[in-house]
Amino acid sequence: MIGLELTWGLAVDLFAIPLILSVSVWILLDPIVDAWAMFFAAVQHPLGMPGTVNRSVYELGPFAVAIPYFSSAAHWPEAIDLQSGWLVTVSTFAISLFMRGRLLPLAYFLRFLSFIQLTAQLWFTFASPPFSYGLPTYMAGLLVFGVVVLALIPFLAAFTFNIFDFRLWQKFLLGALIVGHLVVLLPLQAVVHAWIIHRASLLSMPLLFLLFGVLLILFVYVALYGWGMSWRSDGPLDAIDRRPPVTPPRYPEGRARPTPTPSSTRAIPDPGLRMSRAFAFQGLLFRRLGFGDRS
Amino acid sequence: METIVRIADVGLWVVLAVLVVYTVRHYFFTLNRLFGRHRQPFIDVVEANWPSLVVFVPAHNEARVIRDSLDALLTCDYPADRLVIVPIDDRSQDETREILREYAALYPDRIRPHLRDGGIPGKAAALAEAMADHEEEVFLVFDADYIPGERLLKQLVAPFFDAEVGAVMGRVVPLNVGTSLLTRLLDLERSGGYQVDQQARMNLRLVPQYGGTVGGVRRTALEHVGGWNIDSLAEDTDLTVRLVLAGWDVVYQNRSECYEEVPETWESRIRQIKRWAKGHNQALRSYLFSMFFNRRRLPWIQVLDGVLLLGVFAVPMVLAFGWMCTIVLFYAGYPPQWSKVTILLVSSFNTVGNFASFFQIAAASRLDGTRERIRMLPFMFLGFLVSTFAVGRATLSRASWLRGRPLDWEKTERHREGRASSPGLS
Amino acid sequence: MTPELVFLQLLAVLLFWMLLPLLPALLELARPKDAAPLQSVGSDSGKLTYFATSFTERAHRDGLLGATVPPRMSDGTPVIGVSRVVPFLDLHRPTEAVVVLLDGVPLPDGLEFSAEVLARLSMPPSRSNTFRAILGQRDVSLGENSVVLRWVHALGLLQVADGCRLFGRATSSRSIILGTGVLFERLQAPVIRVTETEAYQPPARPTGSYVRFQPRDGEEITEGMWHVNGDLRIPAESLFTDSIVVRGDVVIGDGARVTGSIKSHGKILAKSRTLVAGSLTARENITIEAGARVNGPIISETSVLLEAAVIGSSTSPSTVTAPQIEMLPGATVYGAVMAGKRGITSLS
Repeated sequence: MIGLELTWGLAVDLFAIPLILSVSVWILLDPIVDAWAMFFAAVQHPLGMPGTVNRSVYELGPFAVAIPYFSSAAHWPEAIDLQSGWLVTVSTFAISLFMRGRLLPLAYFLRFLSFIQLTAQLWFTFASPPFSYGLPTYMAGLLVFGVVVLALIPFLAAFTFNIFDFRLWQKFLLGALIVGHLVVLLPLQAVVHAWIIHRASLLSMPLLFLLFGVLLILFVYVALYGWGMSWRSDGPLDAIDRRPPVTPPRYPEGRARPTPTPSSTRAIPDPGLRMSRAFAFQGLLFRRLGFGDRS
Repeated sequence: METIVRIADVGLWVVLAVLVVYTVRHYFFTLNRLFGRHRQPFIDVVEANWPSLVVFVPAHNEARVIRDSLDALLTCDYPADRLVIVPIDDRSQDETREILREYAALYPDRIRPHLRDGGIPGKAAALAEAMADHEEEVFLVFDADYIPGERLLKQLVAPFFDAEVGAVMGRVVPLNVGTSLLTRLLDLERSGGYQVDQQARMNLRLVPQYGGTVGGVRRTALEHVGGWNIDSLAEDTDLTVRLVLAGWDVVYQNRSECYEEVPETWESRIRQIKRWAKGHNQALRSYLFSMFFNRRRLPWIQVLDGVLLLGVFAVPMVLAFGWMCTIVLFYAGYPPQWSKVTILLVSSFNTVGNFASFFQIAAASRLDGTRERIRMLPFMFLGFLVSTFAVGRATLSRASWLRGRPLDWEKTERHREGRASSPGLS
Repeated sequence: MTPELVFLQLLAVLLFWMLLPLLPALLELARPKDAAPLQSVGSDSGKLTYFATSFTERAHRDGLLGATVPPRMSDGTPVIGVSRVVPFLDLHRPTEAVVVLLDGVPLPDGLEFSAEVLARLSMPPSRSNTFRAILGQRDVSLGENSVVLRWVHALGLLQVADGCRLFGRATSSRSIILGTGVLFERLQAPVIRVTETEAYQPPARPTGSYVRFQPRDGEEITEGMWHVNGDLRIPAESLFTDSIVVRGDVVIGDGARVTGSIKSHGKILAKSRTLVAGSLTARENITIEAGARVNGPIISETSVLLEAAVIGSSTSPSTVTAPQIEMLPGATVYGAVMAGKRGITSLS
């Protein structure tokens, strides 16, 4: 049965490659975070975000990183925000009820989305300010998590991709692609979240936190991972055939069909069959004897 | 409020522990399949004094497909004098019964239909009734739309030369892969489930699951554990657990492959997975205690795998509870750290029902000699979403937890036409 | 530009960036390149004569079995006909043509054949040749130290001299006689024997002449099936009429008779003159001593050592399968011997 062999090279794949990538991230972390801060500063005014771009130092193990964030606050939802929220939540749920067939997965997603937003609606309807979280801490938290992911994700890639029989440069490439993609994705995500929360009030924070934070990162990882796993490799698990969709015949071509066996042994018919045969014979007999209608 | 927060916090940790266990299990199985020593001790048994065999083919409204199935069984290379084919018609409303009568007339020594007009509905009850009439040593079961290869019967019977084997399971491979997004996702899922999951459980001597089709059971083993459980919606899972508890082995043969049709619409997929979930949960409720306190002192690793197998369709409720805890903690001002949410999400992706992790699926596809289909991996999220809801609803239903007779014969819809002409009339 | 417009642009960039890794998936969905069912399903990997049969069909189609031999096959492979009149003169190393032996002339020693060799009559032995594949229409004899890389099939007797290496499949419609020091993988024939030595078979005894045996520490879990924790020794000259699963090692004493099957989580040793009607299955080694007879399959997950014992019968063939199989002179198998990693015939 096909498989792979345990070799010493695996140690390189599992530890050396991700370590190199991870160390590279730490070395480049200051320029990366500086670039994020510059990006925030560049878009803050055009986005109409008040305040400034602040930076706070966070201790991540032995390392310290100055995370940028908007100092803008998000307000407690007002009546108009709550009413709009209810309208959107109910409408989204209602629309999902009409989705069938191929749209069913989307319907379920919209229902899940509606449920999460419903919890926010209920909370902000019955609770009183202040909310436990502010926009600056939210944004900074998102980016701190992102930095941790940047440093650790090469190890995830190592244990899920590098163990296969790909070439060395492919193993470096996938890890680097994922890290590089996230370096651009994280600040974009943070800015979009911040603007929505600032404009739509804290009412939007739960949904963004629970569904559009980590899930996006996970989704991107799986997409890049799936692409990487489809590459040609150098070893026993390589596949070269292109196999477009075909509809093979149900019964294999070239396989003979059975030949009925002449046999004096008859299967015992079920009572219904016996009865119908009896009637048929009786009918035949009657007709032969001149009784009944020949037609 | 503080109590609620504390419960939510502890609850979340428990949920994450459960999900981590399943994730680690998937990962470990994949590593075993990639690097471990593979067990397939029976695949090379090509010559033997083959035991008497009866092949049951449960059929309910299968007129479109039954002819091809019977033709394939009749042309298998199993000794004809040791093989009886028993198609079971259970109140079909189409031409299934007429087709079976036709085949019985043409092959009276080999095909003996079992025709039901009464009795408890459902596949398990039909099999129980039909099997009671047979004394052959080995029973195999094929769904009516399966076309076994010429050697498949011998391959599936070979493990029964091992006196400890009570049941054997082959591999089902989707035939209608390219039909829709759903069929492609199900193909990936099946690949992960069989090529990696089942084979790893076989390698590690854990609990490969008998799946109720493309598989078989030893008659004496079946009688020993009390026959088919006609109350169960997943009689295959139920039988697997009873066999293991009674000291029998269940064998998986990766190379004993047979094509099947997977659901082509989301609706039929939901029906299928709800059925599986209810059946699994019934078995979980019935045998969880017995697993832990088994009389035969099964190896702890087998007990653990058996418990995890039984719990696989209860995980969505565990997951839902985890989400509730996360939401409660969030609003209470104790946000689960991003890392906890990550684990929850990753595990959500991994652990629902029969879902293998994306890693397991990717590995299985490479092992199958395919690669470009792995690009479809991110779409598995859609399948996960639908399955979570379907399994959740099934788990909350009465059928999952209380014994009750299934009211309908539930089966997957067929989409392929069978042969148009009758046999022997060319 | 209004803040809303700036936001929408940023959102568009975010969505684009997020969906970029999804592009391969979307392309595969829109234009599937890999959406066909697995092709291996239903293939008859268990038929050992599959390649021989395929080649025979090709040979028929391309006229290799006719009165004259064509210069090429339909796929362009050159064909060389060899006979007493037309001796083998191809000096290429290895010979890339299909070689047809038209009469019983032996091939020179020390050659390599990278295409099939078809022997129309009996193929006499030649030494130290390497063959890709051989199809013999009658008997085939492989001289010492010959190598077959893929398959060999003889419609008559297949005789394999000492020191040969048979990779892949070696099959015969009549019988296979192996020398010593022969490495093999898969063998199938009505009878397979190591050397011409016939294994001694003790005469059959009536059942009543045995002493019935019942495991003392066992549990009869169901009628005819026992489970034993620990080792089991079936005493010599005793009769055990059921099947049994033993969690330890099993020793079947001299002259004992077992009518069922035995499964061991350890080793199995069948001593001489034992008779097992069913199968023997073990996680570890199985040893069948000289004079023993096993009718059912022998399946080990580790290794099998067959001394001058008999497995199966002419009316009821059987299989011996294990990763490693060693057969000694006199070992006789009616059916198939399948070594997953390495099979060898030894002198002792």
